[in-house]
Amino acid sequence: MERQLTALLAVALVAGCAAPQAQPQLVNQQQYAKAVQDSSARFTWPDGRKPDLAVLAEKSGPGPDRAPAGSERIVLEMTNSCAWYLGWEDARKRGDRTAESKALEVMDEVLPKFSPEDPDGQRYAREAAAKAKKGDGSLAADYVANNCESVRWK
Amino acid sequence: MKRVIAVVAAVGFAMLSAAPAQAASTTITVPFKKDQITWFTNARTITVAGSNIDARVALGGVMQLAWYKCGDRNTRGSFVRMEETRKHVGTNFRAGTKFCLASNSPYTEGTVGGTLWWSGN
Repeated sequence: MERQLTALLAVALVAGCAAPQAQPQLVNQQQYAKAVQDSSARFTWPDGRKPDLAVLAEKSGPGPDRAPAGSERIVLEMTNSCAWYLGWEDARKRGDRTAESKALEVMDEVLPKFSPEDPDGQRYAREAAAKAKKGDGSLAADYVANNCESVRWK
Repeated sequence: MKRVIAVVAAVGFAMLSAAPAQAASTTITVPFKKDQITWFTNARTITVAGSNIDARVALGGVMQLAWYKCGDRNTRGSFVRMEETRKHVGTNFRAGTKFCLASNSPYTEGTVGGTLWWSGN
């Protein structure tokens, strides 16, 4: 009990120390869903790989809790990466060289610029594009297998 | 008491000013609320297969952390009470996985700093 009280006191003090750092503005599920809808237009999507935004917001949003404002950006960036990795594979399977080339261009020039706060993710995207250019889709496939399973495509 | 405040202030300053020590670890400052989950969407990528997500905080016993798939909050680990010693938040992740963190507390609200480890740990 004494330890808990000490910890609580200390946390309160730390919270005070951190006061100059602005607390993130939080949004509820409804606000989050609107942000997903509004922000999705900033992204381009390959044919057949447009996400169901209502499902995306429902699965990625805070539900009855709260999420930091602006957090839809990372979810949309991840979903857009899923779309282009899958779009590239779709194009390869149907032998559509134009669509394949367009997807490779986005994988190489756009996806590695997403999420600058995650340098590991940017490096992963660069390596995935470099391998894909050589015909090796293993990193793209790993990304899709680990991050895209809950996306419903329209 | 003055000594305690000075120590805590120093810890708080260090948490705000320290830079990441290496690619697979970083200092974190985690706000948390009582009986309410806060979902953070600062995604991090696992680049080494089999990696664990570990964390420790400057003041243990109050805040809980969980990992979750950034795009699906229903795919997540259990909340783990954070301590001043390093603890697993999740284990054995596959390469290419992007994860996010969520916090809460059964006791109070506040902000606590610490360290997070992921790829290669």
